[in-house]
Amino acid sequence: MSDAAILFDLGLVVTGGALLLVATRLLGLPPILAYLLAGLGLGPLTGVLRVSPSLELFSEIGVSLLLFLVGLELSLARVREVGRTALVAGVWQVLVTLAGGALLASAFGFGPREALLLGLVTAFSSTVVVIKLLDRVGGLEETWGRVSIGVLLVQDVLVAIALTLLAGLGTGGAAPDPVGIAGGLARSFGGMALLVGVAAAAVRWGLPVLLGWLARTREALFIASLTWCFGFILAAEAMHVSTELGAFVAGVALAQLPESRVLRRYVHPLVDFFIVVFFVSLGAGLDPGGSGVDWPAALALSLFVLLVKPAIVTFLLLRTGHGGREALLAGLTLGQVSEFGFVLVALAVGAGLASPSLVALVGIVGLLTIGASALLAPRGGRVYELLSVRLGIPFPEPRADGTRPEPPAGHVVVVGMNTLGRRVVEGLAERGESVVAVDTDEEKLAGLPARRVVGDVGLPDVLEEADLSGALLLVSALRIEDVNGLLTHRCREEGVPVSVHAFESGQVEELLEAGADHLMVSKHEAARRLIGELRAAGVVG
Amino acid sequence: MHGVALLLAAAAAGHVAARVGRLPPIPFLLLAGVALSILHRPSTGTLQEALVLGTALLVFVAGLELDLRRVRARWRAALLVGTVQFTALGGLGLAAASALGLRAVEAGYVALALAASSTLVGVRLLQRRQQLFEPFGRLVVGVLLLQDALVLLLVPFVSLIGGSWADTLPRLGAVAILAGSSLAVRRWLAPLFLGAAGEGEVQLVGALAVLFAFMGAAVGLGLPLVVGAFLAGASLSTFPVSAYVRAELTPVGDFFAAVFFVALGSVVGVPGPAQLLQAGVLTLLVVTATPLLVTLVAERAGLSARSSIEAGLLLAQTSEISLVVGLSGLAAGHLSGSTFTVLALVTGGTMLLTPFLSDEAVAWRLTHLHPARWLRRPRGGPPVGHVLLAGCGSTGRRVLDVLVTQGRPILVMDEDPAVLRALDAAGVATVRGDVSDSGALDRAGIERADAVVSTVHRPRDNAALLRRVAGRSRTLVRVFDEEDARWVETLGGVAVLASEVTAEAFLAWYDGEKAGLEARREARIEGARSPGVPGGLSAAATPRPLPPS
Repeated sequence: MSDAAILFDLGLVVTGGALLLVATRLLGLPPILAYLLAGLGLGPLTGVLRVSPSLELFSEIGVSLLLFLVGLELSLARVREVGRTALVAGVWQVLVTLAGGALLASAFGFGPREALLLGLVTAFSSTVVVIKLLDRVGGLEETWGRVSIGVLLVQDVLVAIALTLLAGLGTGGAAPDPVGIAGGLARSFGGMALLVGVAAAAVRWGLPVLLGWLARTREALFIASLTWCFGFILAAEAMHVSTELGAFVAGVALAQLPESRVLRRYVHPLVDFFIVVFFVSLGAGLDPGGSGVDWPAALALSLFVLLVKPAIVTFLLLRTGHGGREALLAGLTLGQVSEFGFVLVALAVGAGLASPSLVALVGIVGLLTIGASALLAPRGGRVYELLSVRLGIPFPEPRADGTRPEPPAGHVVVVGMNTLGRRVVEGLAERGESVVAVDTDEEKLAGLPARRVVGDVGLPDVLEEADLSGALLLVSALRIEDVNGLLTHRCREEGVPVSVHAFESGQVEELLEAGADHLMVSKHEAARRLIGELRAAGVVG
Repeated sequence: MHGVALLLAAAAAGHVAARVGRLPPIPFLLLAGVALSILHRPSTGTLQEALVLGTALLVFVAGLELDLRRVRARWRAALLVGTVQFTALGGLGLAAASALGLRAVEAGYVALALAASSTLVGVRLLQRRQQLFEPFGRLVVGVLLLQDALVLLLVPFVSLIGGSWADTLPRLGAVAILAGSSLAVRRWLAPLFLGAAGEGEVQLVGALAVLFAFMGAAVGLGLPLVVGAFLAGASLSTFPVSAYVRAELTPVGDFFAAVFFVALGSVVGVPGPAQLLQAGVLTLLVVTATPLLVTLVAERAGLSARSSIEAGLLLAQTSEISLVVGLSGLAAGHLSGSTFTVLALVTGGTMLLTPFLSDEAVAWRLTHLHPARWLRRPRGGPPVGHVLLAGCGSTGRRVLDVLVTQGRPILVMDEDPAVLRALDAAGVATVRGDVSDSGALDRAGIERADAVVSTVHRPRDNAALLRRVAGRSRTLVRVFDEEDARWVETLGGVAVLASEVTAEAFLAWYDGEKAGLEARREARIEGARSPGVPGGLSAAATPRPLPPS
């Protein structure tokens, strides 16, 4: 393998990330900080890592796949649910933040063009950071979380417009080109419409059949879905639409199909990997040093982004009928600048529209706001308490009652819908128990008197979806040795009783040692019944 | 981005094609790569990165699989069979390669490549046929794991063939150091992963860090990357760490594996007639020599004739690791592109043949060709009025124990020589044979038996037996699923459905335990509620906080 450079680069990224991850975990800090700091350490501080085009590609893939994953989690109904709110909140937020940021910048003595640029930088939030934060606090399932995502997507569209406008405004002193701008905008919107159209058509005709047929082979399904996503990414690129939006549309399309449940869990670790590369590369690409950095301005802008921006978002969400707590949480997650801001500034500097010192300035603002929002957002509940209780700020209650459905309590989880599993489910249901049946094969779950979860229990969130922690008992009817072992282990960790199918005598001792509360030893039971039958036939006394 | 998209699209096409024929995907991925190289070859940079990363992850995953618990009691047999197959095929490969006119070093790589059977293909087939935990299944898994380890750990030494042997000792030392580190990580670092249970991201990053650290160390010690990657995987292969790591790593591994095989196909390109010929010779070698060798040795090691043949057929292909080895040689300049193409052809071809070769029907036909050397007549003449026990595994043994106490004449029919030896020693009358073999049924005096109890692994094997005793005596057959139960009943037997009786036993236990389970749940939920903190979102390391109470 002659080109081992990528291995070296990735090795640094991953090892640095891992080391700092251990450190930040001990301190209770979020992973994002670990990766950023690792990047800082590897890049500006020691100069060991240079962000190569390959790493940049990995980062790009990461962001697109992240949006693909987000799309997979949404259904059209949910998109419509938050669409209007997100649109209104998004547009207003960008405009207000832009104005505020620009004003603040000019107060610090920056010229009109630079002030506008800085305003733009403060206006946009980081898609990646926000989604990671939402994932961490469980907000992806909440309405307010989806509003945040909606706001981000609206920002994406506005970014596209901004870029088109910038391109049309020309470099340096050239005259603006209105026809060009209009043409560019039309192409972008037309492209989006086309993508959505193609996606909708595919979901209507063909895609369900194809994916259903592939669903049996997990690998094939996975690779095919990724191909679908990349197809949209390339199409979006060709039509000068943001690749993130393209991936998002691809994801939403697949979310309409039942296979998306399995896909989501499978895509998640892949996204995790690429996103680590993203953050470390981001940190490595920053340049916070540099003399002549206007620290007061940097701090002021950071505070603006950290405090005022969430306030704006919170206010807007309150106006659209959300409860105080939800609005605040959404606001806090959006309180940082986007990595896109660095790109924007770099472009501007390159075009001679801004002074180079701006790059370092924006770098510092980015670092401070991303780090701080990663710290604040998960503690949003406490911030809410602080503000509403201690400071007595009157937050209104939510208009609509957004209660989550209560998770099933006191249920039995049965894994593996082979003959044994099905009989157990039916037997338990006959006794009036609430049962959750889990299997990788959707067909095997058909017709059972139980709540169904499709997924591989080897993957972490399947058991969460089955609500293992609230269960009375877990029963594994599987004839797969290592999964049974894993399940026994997991249940013991959670303190949930477990009954496991020991289909070979050699497993009995091991499973009991691992903490199984009860074993279904099919061979012994079969022998017992055979002897019983022999007795009934008079062959045996 | 374009390059990645192209590779993915080709991979998707390959998977779809494989799915149509229900065949192993790797040959189709290779083909897709070849097609891609003709239609729109991705850039060399993209291909190289795909190959490098794919190799690293593929070998890492191979190392992760190194869990001896999957082999259990069959490890000795696996060791014997694996070593013999490895050595013999390696030797034959060396001979064949030299005969085909390859240089010594190249022949060495070819030998190494031929000596490995495919873990991916073998395990997948066993899983699909639900035979992973049968004795021969465990043997096959053991052999595959052993071969992976042997092949990868020998890669550093192949390049020494035909060259200077002075480097052997330092290389051995380097491998020893790396292996020692792997053991150390396995012992002290791996358990730390359990502390991050539920945080997939942390485990993923941690595992990858281990991988890259080992690869870096390998390079530092002058060893090929693959040795580092394999030992990294091995260091995390203890249970339950490997299960958690695999859960996170599988999607990443699958992604890079798909891209890897397509890239490999693209690099290989379209083969010429000379290469096809060479590949044909080597394929024939693998496909004929492996089953023969494995059958012979496996029987010696105590497996039944049929199991040995099945194992041999299942192992008759070369491996994805063979491709990795070839790539390693290609990159180091020891292997020519032409020979590498041949290896790719052999691998793809043998993998495609395996599902057909290892089909039950083929195994069956071959078993009949097998000379029945150990014919055994039961002591005391042909039996009458006895209870015939077909199959004496753990279930059969329990039935036997009860029958023995009754003083009933018993005859046990089994294929496993070890089982028969133990029974002979205990004074039980035995007949060696397979339940589907009418000759064996004759010797067992099936028509004169009072009752027949069959607990063989595959219920459908009882077809001949059921037809001969239909209705005449009480014939009990242990089955695993409802279809088989119905089939047995139709033929006049009494089916004992293992799952039904097991479920009944479970439900009986549940009825008695329910109150206790409820109490435990109450206690657990009370304990989880932390007093005094009003509904805030937890900032601790849990990825999903409890909803505010």
